[in-house]
Parts: sequence; C-alpha cells; structure tokens
Amino acid sequence: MMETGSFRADSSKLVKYKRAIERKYELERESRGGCKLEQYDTFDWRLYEKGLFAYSNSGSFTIGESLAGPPSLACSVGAAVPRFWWEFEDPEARVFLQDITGVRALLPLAETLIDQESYSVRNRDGKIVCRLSFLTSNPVDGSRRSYLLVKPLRGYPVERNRISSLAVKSGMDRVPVPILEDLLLSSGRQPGGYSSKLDLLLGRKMTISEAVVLINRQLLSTITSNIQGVVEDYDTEFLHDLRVATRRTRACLTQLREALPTDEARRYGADFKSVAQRCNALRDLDVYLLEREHYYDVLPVHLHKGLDQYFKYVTRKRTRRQREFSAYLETNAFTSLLRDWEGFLQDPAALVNDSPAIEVAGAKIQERFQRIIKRGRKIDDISPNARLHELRIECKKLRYLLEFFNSYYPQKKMNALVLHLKEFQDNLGEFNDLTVQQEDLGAYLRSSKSDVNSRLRDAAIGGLLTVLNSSQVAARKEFYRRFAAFDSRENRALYGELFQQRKA
Amino acid sequence: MKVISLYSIKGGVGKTTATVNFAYLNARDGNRTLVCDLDPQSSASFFFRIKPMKKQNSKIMVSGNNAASEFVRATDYENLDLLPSDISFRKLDVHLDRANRSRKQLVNTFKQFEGYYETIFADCPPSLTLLSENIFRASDVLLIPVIPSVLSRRTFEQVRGFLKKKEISIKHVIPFFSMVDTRKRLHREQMDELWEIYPDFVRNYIPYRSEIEKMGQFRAPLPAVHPASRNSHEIQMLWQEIRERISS
Repeated sequence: MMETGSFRADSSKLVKYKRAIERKYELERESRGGCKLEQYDTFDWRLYEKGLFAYSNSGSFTIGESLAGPPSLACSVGAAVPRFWWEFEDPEARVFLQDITGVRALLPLAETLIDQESYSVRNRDGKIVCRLSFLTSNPVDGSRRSYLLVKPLRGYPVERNRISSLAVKSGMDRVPVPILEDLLLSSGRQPGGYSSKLDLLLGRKMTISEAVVLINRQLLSTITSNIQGVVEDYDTEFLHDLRVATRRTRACLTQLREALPTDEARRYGADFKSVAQRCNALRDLDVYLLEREHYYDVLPVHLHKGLDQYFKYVTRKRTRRQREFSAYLETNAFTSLLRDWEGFLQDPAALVNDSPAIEVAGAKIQERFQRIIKRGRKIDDISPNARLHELRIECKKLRYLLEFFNSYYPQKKMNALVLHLKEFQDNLGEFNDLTVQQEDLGAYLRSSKSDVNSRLRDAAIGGLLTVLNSSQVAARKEFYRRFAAFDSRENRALYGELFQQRKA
Repeated sequence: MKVISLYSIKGGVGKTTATVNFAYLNARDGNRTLVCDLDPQSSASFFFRIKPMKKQNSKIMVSGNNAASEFVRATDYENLDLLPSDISFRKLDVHLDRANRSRKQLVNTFKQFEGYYETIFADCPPSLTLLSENIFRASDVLLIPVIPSVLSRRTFEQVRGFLKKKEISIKHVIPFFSMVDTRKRLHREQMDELWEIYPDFVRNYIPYRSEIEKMGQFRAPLPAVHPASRNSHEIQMLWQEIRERISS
C-alpha cells in the first residue's frame, strides 16, 4: 500500500517545493510544533493486517490508514491508552476495536518525536484546496527523517494531483510505505512479523527429517516470541499461543518420532509434554475469566452476587498461577531446554530419516483418520465419557498433522477437509470443556467453607452446574450428527484421494 | 441523519447567513455536516469560497444514482462539507417535474448521504414551488427565519398554511427572528405579538448588525473569524436553543 501524498523530503527540496507552489497558490502556515507520537498494535498486528495504524498523541488516540486521510477512529483517552477494547470509555472506540483486537491487548510499539509544520494551500478565491505537513522524525536509530505529506480535501482532486506532482518535480521521492509504517520500521519494528498459524512451505523432495526440523524451528520461534508477553501478562493469547506451539512440538515429536534420533525424540517429547502440562491450569483459568459474561448471562440476576465470590476466587488463583508459570519460564530448566532444542534443530546429526516427507505425511494422516473412524463408530449411548475424550485427542493429532503438511495438498480441498474436522472437534471440545468445568466447580464447592454468607454462592454454583450439565447432555447428543458428517462418504473419499498412495 | 432546511418564501431575510453559521457550529461540535446549497444564487457556496466542479449540473439532484456525492467539496473547516450550487439549479423545478415521484425526489437524493453525514443543512431558494415541497418532505427540521415586519410575518403564515393544506408533517417547524433591529418599535411590537400567537418562536434571535452583513466580505462563518464577538455569541445562543429543541 502506498500513500498517494507522502514523500521523503529534505530542507533544500522543501524550499524549492514551496517556491513552486507559490507560483500558483497561496501558501499559509497554520501551525508549527512538536509532538510525541506513540504507536500501538496488538502483538499479532491485527490493525496492521487491516491496513490500519494506531497512535496516540497527548491524550488523543487515533486509528487510520494514514496520516493524510480522515481517521477511522479518533477519541480522547486519559493519561494512558487503555490496553483492551472494553477499557475504552468512548463507546465508538469500543465497537470499532472489539471487532479487530478481540481479546488482544494494544501494546505500545514505538515512540517517535516529531516536529511538524502545517500549511494550507489556497486558490485564487482564497479557498483552501489542500493541506501540507512537513514532518521531521527523530527515531531511535538516530537518523532524522523528513517527510512531506499532502493532505487532500474532498472535492479537490485536480489540485491534489497538481500539488503532489510538484513534489516529484522538486526532486522528492514517494515513501514506498505509509509514513506511519516507515516510523515503525525506523523504530526497529517489523509490522506483520508475527502469526501463531503454522505457515510452512515444505519442499516436495524433502526428507521427513528435514521437514520435522523445519516445522519445529517455526514452532520454537513461536514459543520464544511469546515468552515475554506471558511474563509481562499483557493478554491471555501469549500463553495460548505458547501452549499451542508447545503441544504441536510435542505432537510432532511423538507422531513423527522416527524422523529424529530415538533418544532425542523421547527426551524432548517428554520435556515439552511437561511444559504443556504446566500451561494447562493457567489457560483453564484464563478461559473462565474470558467467558465470565456468559456465566452471568445464564444465571438469574439475583444470583449474580453469588457468582462474584466465585470469580474473585478464580481471579486470585489465576494471579498465583500466572506468577508461578512466569517464574518457571525464567528457570534454568526451561531456558536450557529451549537452548538445547534450538542447538539440536541446527545439528545435521538430527537428520536420520531419508524417507520422503510427502509419503510419510500421507500415510500418517490416513492412518490417523482411519483410527478415528474406527473408534467413532464404536461410540453409542452407553459408552463412557472417556471414549469421547480419547477421540478428541485423536482428532487433535490429526489436525496437527494436517497443519504440518498443509502445503503438500491442494488448498481448496484442504480447507473443506479442515472445516469438517473443525466442526467435529468443536463438538468434542465443548463436551470436554463442560466436563472439566463441572469437575472444577464441584471441587470448588467441596473445598470452600459453608456459612450464612455462602448460600448465594452455593446456589449460583448449583445453578451453573445444572446449566453445564444440560449443555453437556446436548453436546453428547450432537456428537452423532457431527460424527456422521465426518464419517460421510464424501469426506472419506476426500481423505482417500488426498492421502493414499502418493509418491513424490 | 437529520435534514435541517432553512426556508423562507421571502428573500433577503438572512437565511444563508443562518445556514452557514449553524452548519459551522454543528460541525465544530464534532458532527459530520453537509451544507446542501439548493439556491441558484449560490450564496452559501460563495460564503465558503467554493465553486462547483465543471461537470456539475442540476440533474445530479434528481438522478437516481449517487451522482451528487461526487460533487461534494470540503470547506476549510473540519467535519464540514458543501454541495455547491450554480446557476443551473434554477432548472431544478423543471427536472423535478419530469421525474417520477416528483414530490419526493429529494428524499431519495439525500439517501446517498446517509451513514456518512450526521446532519444535512439545506439552504433553500426563496419561493413556494415543487422544489419547496420536495424540501419539506425531505426535512426533519424546517427552520424559518422571519424579520419582525408585517410582510415577513405574512409569508411565514403562508408557509404554515401551505404545510397544512398539503398535509405535510415535519417533525419540527421552528421559526426564529432574523435581522432584528431592536431600536425599531415596529420590530419590538411584532416580536411580542408573534411570541404570543406562536409560542414556537425561538427566544434567541439574530440581530441586524453590520458585522453580520460583512460576512459577505470576509466569506467565512462568523464564529470562525470572530469567535469571541457579541454577534458570534448571540448566534451560538440561538443555535443552542434550536439544537436543544430538535434533540428533545
């Protein structure tokens, strides 16, 4: 994306430019001053992905595509920019941000001091037809950068073009990216540089060892880049991404264990399993808090007070767990695990299996799929819940395999396939969550003291248990329908077509 | 989106002055505002120093697509845009007459601005024609400037009669006094009388003063140029009273 009216400038070119403009228009300085521009985005660049930039400047907060055009959102904030959309006082800001940032925090990314001179350009009638800003930034890398910004006014495109082309004639180059992006770059930020999604292009001639090493390098980078966010407790998604990457690592090590030397596969598999387990309790508590509204919604209003007590308890517990887990991330055990693992992934000795990755992938996926079908068909009304939980784990393993080797297969068909699997997984996931939540609430009820004040609380928990139980019964009923869709002739044929007997 | 029309059968009653100043004050409060200059004399456009684009003609106001939007131009003030008028707008009545649903055509035309602008101020030509009827039907608020004189009062009563006869119901029909010379006894008497007969008349008013007349020379809204002046203050008081009335 290029801003039509932004140029790199220096003072000599600006002088020339001003002179050129004054031959046709009247140039009038409107303001001059300095400001401190602080830029924000979520860790995974949700604003940037939508072509937007957020910045604050002495109490006002703005989101827009560029410095030139009208902002998409402008509101005033207090001394500090709120971290989450729900913390904004301005209702318009809440609505705007909710859709984009979701549960992610707005993080300060760069702070730049900017000197700004603004001019209006008037035609013969004395009407303003365009505005200009001359900006000079002092980024952290020490290089001063000067820009010219041509801000068009609605209904004056001819003048805008003429005034922009004078900039080119005065020897200025267009900035290849929006100025706000240029400011991020000069502060050492790489916009769009993070995604929790596995996005791997595996070579068709790759061996399974090479593929597994590549997959794990990307997962390791995801783990590493989320550590700070977990420790600083910016938002819940750092832990979530770290946990998923850890689980994928562990799944890769067990499902494709023959790709790496046996001892290392076993050792790291066990180590990452233990990291993943350490995340679980904290993530569960995060989910409770994220879904707090939902819990309140299902209960009658007069029981809400009872729920307050429960959530106070959850919040306290979460704070404790968060501290514990953060401390763990800074232990020698964890840091050396990552260091060793990184070293191992660079070591040519890791490459022990020459089988073509594409063949191994197809066979593994097909095998896992068949196992799910076989186990799923055995489930009936009297099967214990544990069978469904096992099936959920199997599905997760299949999902990871599909993600690892996604690039080997036609995207359209893969999307359809993943969608089917996802719908099935959602049902199994819901069923499992409802089981865990009932267990947790039951344990809380048993362990907490009963007295006169606890009646409302116990009633609220009882109410929740009832709702959760009936949802669980519904989810179990829904299982048959979802599994039937997954076990459909079309879906089976699709797996057969994509994953059977493929040679490199 | 609210459509506020400033209308009077009689010319020279300070209609455009009020439009320009009210629209400016409305935009200054952070409301996205469009001034629709429908008067072929194009005085509002003149006040904002805006000329229409070359391709513009009066057909854009009656064609079914979003033609008018393309001709909107920004004023020098934040949140305030203007759809300029030109001499071709004198033919608006003819175009309306030929159009389908000729009495409600302007309602359609304004629809294209829905969602972007919060308020449209329509500056209407003096006269009582098909265009006027279109304007009435498209308006949420009809502001009628009245000079406290016998003739001006008479035209105000004619408008009321017309609305009644055509069974046009506008949410707010608000008359206010304009070009008031408090030194004249006649003005004072007329105002007292009208306030008594029509309690809808706004209490604040626009006085007759040379600074306001000079707006044509400096070509800008008064509160933008002389924000602290007495005249600006009076106009702001008047606008505030109207705003409270229409938001209730």
